[in-house]
Amino acid sequence: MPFRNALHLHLIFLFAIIPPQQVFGQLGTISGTVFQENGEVVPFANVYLSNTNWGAASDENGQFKINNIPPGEYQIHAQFIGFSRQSKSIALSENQNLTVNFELQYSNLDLEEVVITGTMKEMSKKNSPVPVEVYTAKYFANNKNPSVFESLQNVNGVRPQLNCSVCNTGDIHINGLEGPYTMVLIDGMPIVSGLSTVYGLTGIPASLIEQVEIVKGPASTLYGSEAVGGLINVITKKPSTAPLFSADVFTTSWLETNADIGAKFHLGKKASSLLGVNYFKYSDPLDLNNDGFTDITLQDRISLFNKISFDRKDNRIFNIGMRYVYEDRWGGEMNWRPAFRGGDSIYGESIYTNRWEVFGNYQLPIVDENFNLQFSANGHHQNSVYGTDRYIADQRIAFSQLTWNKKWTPSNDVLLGVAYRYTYYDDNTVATYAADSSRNSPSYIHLPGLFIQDQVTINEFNTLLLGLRYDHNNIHGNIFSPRINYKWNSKKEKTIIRLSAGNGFRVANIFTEDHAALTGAREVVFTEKLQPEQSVNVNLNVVQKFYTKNQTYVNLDGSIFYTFFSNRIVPDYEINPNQIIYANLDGQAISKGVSLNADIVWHSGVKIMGGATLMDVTIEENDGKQRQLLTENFTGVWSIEYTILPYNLTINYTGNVYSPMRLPLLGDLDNRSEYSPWFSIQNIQLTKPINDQWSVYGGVKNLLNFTPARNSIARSFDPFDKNVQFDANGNAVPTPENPNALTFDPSYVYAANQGIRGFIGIKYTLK
Amino acid sequence: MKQLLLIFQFFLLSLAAFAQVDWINFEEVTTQLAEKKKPIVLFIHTDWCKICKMQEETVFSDEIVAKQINNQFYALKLNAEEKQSLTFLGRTYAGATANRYHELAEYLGKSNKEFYFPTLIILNEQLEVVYKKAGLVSKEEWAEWMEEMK
Repeated sequence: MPFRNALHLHLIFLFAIIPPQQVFGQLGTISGTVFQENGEVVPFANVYLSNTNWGAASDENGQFKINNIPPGEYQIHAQFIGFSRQSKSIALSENQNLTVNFELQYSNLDLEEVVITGTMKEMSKKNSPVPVEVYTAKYFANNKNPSVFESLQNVNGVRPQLNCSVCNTGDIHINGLEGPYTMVLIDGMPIVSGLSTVYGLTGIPASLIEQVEIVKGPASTLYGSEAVGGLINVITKKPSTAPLFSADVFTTSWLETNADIGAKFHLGKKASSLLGVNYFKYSDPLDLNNDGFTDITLQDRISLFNKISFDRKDNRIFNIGMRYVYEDRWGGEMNWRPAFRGGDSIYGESIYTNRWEVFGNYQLPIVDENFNLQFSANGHHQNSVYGTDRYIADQRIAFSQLTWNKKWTPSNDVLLGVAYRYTYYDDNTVATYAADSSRNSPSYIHLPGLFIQDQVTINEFNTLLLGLRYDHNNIHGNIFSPRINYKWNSKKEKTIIRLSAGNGFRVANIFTEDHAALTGAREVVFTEKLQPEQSVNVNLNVVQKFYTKNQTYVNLDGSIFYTFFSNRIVPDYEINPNQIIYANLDGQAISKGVSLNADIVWHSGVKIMGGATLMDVTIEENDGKQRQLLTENFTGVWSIEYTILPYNLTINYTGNVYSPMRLPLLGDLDNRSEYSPWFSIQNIQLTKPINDQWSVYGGVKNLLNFTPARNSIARSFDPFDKNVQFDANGNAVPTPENPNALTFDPSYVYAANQGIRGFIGIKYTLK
Repeated sequence: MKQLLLIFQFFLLSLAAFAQVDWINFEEVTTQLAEKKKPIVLFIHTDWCKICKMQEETVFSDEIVAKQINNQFYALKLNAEEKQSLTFLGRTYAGATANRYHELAEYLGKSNKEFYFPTLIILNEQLEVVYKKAGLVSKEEWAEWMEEMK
């Protein structure tokens, strides 16, 4: 391998060669000091005369001296790592001892040396007592997807679950716990909650991601009392590493087209702006299973993102971000058109979503103290129809949090905070009607909170994180949530053990969270006034790293988790197939399991990541124990990467596998299978950089061509139940035309109804 | 007798399979360089980067590599997410923030405006960057580098 950097090779000779005495006459000397902007000296700077071999380096006091220079005119330069080169013209006369001082400016350009880029770069867990898994943008690029929602299918223990086979809304399950137990944050702020957990997740483009941090089990008190199942923190791109301009477009053989454009520019001298536009369109309905319904929901979505960062004194932080999403989606009978919206002739579910967000982070200008102010506000308007049922909802949330981080003693790192969250919610359903149903009564929730967290470094091997949070909900009163996290690590951190425990407290908003409540097919019934749910969670995590002599790296990461719920709010689909009955559970619900992740990296560049989770989520009431619906007992994910160096071609093979899940049936006569089959979604992607700017990628998604059963939508031919006969209790009765006593029902869904398809994309990056 | 004991200890240490690089403080480099010129190895990592750990545990812990680094270089290790500022060769570089990595890491470590972990940089005795690699440097590659440095 030759010297990669020949740029400064000439300098190497400078110091070796002292110009010989020649016949130029009396020789002179140049000496001086190299200073920097702030007046301090620069040691070891290289000072030299161009087109000659004469030069010297400054000493540790910044002084240099070049002897034996013949008289004449010269260009003299001073340069050093960290600084811009400074050049001066000088004239040296005979015998002169010339003094030349330099004042070097800081170089803000990145030092762009010729770099060798290997294939073995980059992901793992942070050094915190809370087990945080960090996934980089590059990891998600291994299986390209338009949104954060779909991207998460590649993470063990995390399952994006579709809840409706017509409108394809989804939520994110962590270790078997449903969407409402998972908190989704953007840049550490609770921006995604309530309504936006239903149609908001597909609206976060994958292109925004710098990193995704995932905490399974109770997260730190910093994030409130709700995040008991887990937490997903989407960290948006850092302005410093984002390219000047990037464009990335891909399309699939189903003509799902995704376009991302990103640009970075300076706003004056003190601010830089990062702009991202994402457009997704799928407008060509397909009905490959011949049930008369669209296989996949049609979507037309634009998302704008802008983050402005200000350069401040002493490196303090000030960021403001904005995001806007508009989406028009519909699914239903193939011949549905917007004109049929809300009517009872042709069935369609059509949702218009309008959402804006503003969020920011400001570090207070207090010398030597770290005070941070976070703030966010968002508005979400959803205008939807499910068959003939209209659901029009409005939600506005404002959030602000001030934290003070201080190292009280070398071993106590304390974080104190106050937070306030305001939620306004209104819709056109009974949920926001006054008790006597006479008038509309929107819900206002004020949630002020206080928290303290102390990270105690006991010694090199033991760390303890203690947290206590107090919130006051204007409807439900006081909420205390203590958290404890403990970490032990071996010397060199080859073995790490983490134990976390905490409780959760959650006020459920059925309509915003549970999409099934909205799909017109079933009537929603509340048997009582719902009480807040409470849960206790314990999580044990063990990480073991191995390194072998032949430079193979193995990282094993295992967890045992246990969550106990009381007062859990459970939708009952089974008492009456035409209703969903919401009630606080009288008994208990338990989610427990084990998961194992393995990462193996070979020196040859093969990387394998695999994970498996075995879990048992049960609901126990007086009449016995039952498995939670739509919850698998086993999941596995994998991602294998290899780069064929001579061609610089990267191959990614990703996939997941799920064990059967219990599905909601419509009564005893329902002829659909009670359990989903084992199924696996597998993908292959090839990526090839053409040059520094362009790269192309493509592949096949759902290689095994798995699709759910054709009869998943019950009575898809009669979506308004026009030919169903009901008894006095409202239950469907078997008739010759309807022998299984079914009604139209799209809630029997466990996977996307989308088989094998190819995709191809191209990416342009201007650094 | 004391000397003999020291020699014996030294002998034992050199026999031990476990080797490690002696990382020095950034602030110390200037004084040390003033005493003795040596090239510098700068290892940029993050605490969540697996390949970085792999670099340390499979290459830097190798007896030959560790010995070469300790004898022939000043070895520096920089966490790109370190929040503290630090002074390196006369200039003070700001710590990492939510918007960017450590200023020194950004300045020296970026490859084509992107950041990969780990990044290994070698500065020659004149303190110019002569090698930079984004990604794992295997034992074999390291040996090749050492050949070329001669």
